[in-house]
Amino acid sequence: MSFAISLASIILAFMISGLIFVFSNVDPILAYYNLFKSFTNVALLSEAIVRAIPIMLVALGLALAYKANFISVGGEGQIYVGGMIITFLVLWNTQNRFLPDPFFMPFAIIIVFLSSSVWGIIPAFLKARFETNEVLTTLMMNYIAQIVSNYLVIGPWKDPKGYGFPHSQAFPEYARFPLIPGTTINSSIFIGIFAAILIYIILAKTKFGFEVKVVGDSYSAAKYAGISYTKVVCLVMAISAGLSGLAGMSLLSGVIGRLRPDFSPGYGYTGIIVAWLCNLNPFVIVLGSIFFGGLLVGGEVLQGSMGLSVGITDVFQALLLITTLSGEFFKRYRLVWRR
Amino acid sequence: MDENVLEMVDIVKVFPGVIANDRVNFSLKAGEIHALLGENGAGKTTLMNILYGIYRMDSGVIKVDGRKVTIRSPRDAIKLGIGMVHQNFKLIPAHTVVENVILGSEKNGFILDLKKSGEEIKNLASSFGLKVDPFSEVWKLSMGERQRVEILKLLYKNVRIMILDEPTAVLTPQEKRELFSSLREMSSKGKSIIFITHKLDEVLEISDRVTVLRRGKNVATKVTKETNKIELANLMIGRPIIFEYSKNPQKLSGLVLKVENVRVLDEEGNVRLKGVSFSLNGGEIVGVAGIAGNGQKELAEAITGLKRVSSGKIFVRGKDLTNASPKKFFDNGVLFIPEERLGVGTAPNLSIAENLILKSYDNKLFSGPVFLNFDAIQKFAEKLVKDFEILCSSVNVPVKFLSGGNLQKVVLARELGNIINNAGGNVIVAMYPTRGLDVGATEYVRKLFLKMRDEGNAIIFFSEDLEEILSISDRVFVMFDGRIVGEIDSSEADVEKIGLMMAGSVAS
Repeated sequence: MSFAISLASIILAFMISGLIFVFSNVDPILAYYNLFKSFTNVALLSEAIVRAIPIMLVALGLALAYKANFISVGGEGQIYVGGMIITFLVLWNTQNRFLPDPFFMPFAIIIVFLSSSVWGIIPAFLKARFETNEVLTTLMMNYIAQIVSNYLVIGPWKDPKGYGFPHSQAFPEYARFPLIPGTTINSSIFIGIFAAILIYIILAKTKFGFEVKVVGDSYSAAKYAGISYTKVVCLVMAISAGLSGLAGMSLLSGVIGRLRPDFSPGYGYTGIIVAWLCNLNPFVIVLGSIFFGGLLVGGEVLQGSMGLSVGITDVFQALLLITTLSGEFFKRYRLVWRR
Repeated sequence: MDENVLEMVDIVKVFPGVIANDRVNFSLKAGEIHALLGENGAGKTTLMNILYGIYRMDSGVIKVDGRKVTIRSPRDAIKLGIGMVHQNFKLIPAHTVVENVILGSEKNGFILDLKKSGEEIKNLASSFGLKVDPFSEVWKLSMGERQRVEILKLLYKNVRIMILDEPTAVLTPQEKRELFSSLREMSSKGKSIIFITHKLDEVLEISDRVTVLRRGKNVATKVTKETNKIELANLMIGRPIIFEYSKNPQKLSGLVLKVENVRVLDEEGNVRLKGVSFSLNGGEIVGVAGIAGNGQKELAEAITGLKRVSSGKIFVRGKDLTNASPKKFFDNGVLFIPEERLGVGTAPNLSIAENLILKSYDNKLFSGPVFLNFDAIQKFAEKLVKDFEILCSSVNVPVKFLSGGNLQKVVLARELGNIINNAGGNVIVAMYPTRGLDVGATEYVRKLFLKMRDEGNAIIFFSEDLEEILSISDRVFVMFDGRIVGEIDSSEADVEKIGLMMAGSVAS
């Protein structure tokens, strides 16, 4: 029954966006064929996975936060923080050469993770201490991070040899994630898979995961059991923001190769959708991210081949979220028709 | 009076995994007070929720005045003249009595004449002996008065079948007497009353007939005059129960808890606990009487570490634990059975096993430095489920699916089942430990407390049931307005005097 409802939700989303295609004078069947082309073609699938990596990292972190009932929407800002930190490390290392090349990436991964964690702990601490609303604080911090990052890239960190273009200098080879041979997929995917396993183990097997579940289920019960709310949400957000920070690093070191203004096309928000649609299950999130990565690629194909706006993908994503969340209602309740 | 105003025939209601009502039959005559007696989980409230339109029955027939009816919502029920007073009152505290009473009524037009309605309500109230000021705001009223407002709401809507769900739980003995006399007044004027309860004395005192439910089935309907307490108890739980608890002679084993002049403020800075001092010895049970909201919750939370005290000291076995964490209190053998079993005492969506280790999950027995030891947890949970007779299909069921009695057993099992200090000297703090529990589970809790007492532990429990307090405690405290206004040896206590102290009329 539950599966049938999920399927019906997805079909409904297709039907509604089909109407939008029809109103845009586009053959919906052909449009859908293009939208899902990435799942029929190896080269496009590999592109889909490239886009899936940052989404996956953000969604995994958010899933942990949501398990603790901490409704963070701060993934996007944490991506920019991660991006700024890796750029800083690259610039610093090009000047000082403080690390031998092979050690740079492992070191950078740790530093990016930890610095983004600090950023993520801020709203957690504010909530634990002053009961501020985490949706607001994390959202506002997104703007701060993005604007600071944009300032740096058009200001102090602008590439002096960049002909005035607003981007940083290109990352040297040692600061890039190597590609998996024969594909466009960079090796940060292994961080994503490792993170999925880690989040699964935390939630299913550890004492900390138990505390997260208690806090998420009932704040009062956690307090009564002597579980420190402050400790749990700060740690949860440290991990959550750390993973989103790595998503930012994966974008720069894996795909773009330098810091650019507005370098994330909203992956931090897509992560929210993926986390909920995948029912906060880490392994499903990995697959869900690839599906959404495919949609993004499909949107670009649509734009190229049929002249539709790439925004159609966002519409489809949003419809999918709405129908799935509405479907949850029917999983919980049964409609009975009576006189 | 022999005319049936209501008949419920072969009512069936199935919840996932439980048959809450299994072909239940129930009938009600005009002007009758009909008690609906049964343990928790027996299906009393389910049956009445079906009648009031909150649940839908799976099969069965409801007839009002001999006519078959369909009740889809409380609105339908009220149209048929059926009304219900829930255990938790559904009033708007900031509004006046009149405003609450006329809410949802269709008598008034677009423009309200509150003065006229107020007069109407006053007359209505006095004709049934319900004392209440129609222009007072509800938040200023006592629980007894609020209950009268709930009843007035129904009378104002011309309800003739009135369902009262455990109406005496929140009342002082005096208020209970007033309620009963109003009920008699109403029944003499032709109103029919369904009185849900699990207290046998109340059944015998107020009802004309009694229907007993057990495990979803109705086992008997009796004329109250022709039955007695023993028979009803037998019908209700299927075996005889004890009314007198045989207490072993007291063996005090030294000071366990000392509370010195403790004051507690609430979030707005109001003083909730105005300097409370007492000590507890191992081997005694202290019952705390008082109307809810007079500082009981604050006192219980202060001596378990959940609430900061603004001044004063708390010592456990000589150790100063003032403002220590709840965990510290627990580790020092202060065990707490909170008022809300679901949401505070347990995390609703976690399993029985997970809730049983809620306070001891980081004990060496159940976890290493990082990982939980699921085998040990499973075995431990299965043992406690057996020891404490918790009814469940598996220890992995979320606790939100348990009945009140079983849920309380989960809390008790966790708090008492793995007592750290087996030699006694623990402090057990219990808020309303038997509230809403059936006779069987109540008896179980009381016996357990007596056993813990004989093993040298100190027990302080808060209750609104004076008979319970008198039946198992060694000393009785009475709380009023943030203070302990009376301390009485239970052998010298009498209900009347305690009742007056609870109302703040007498200080000892």
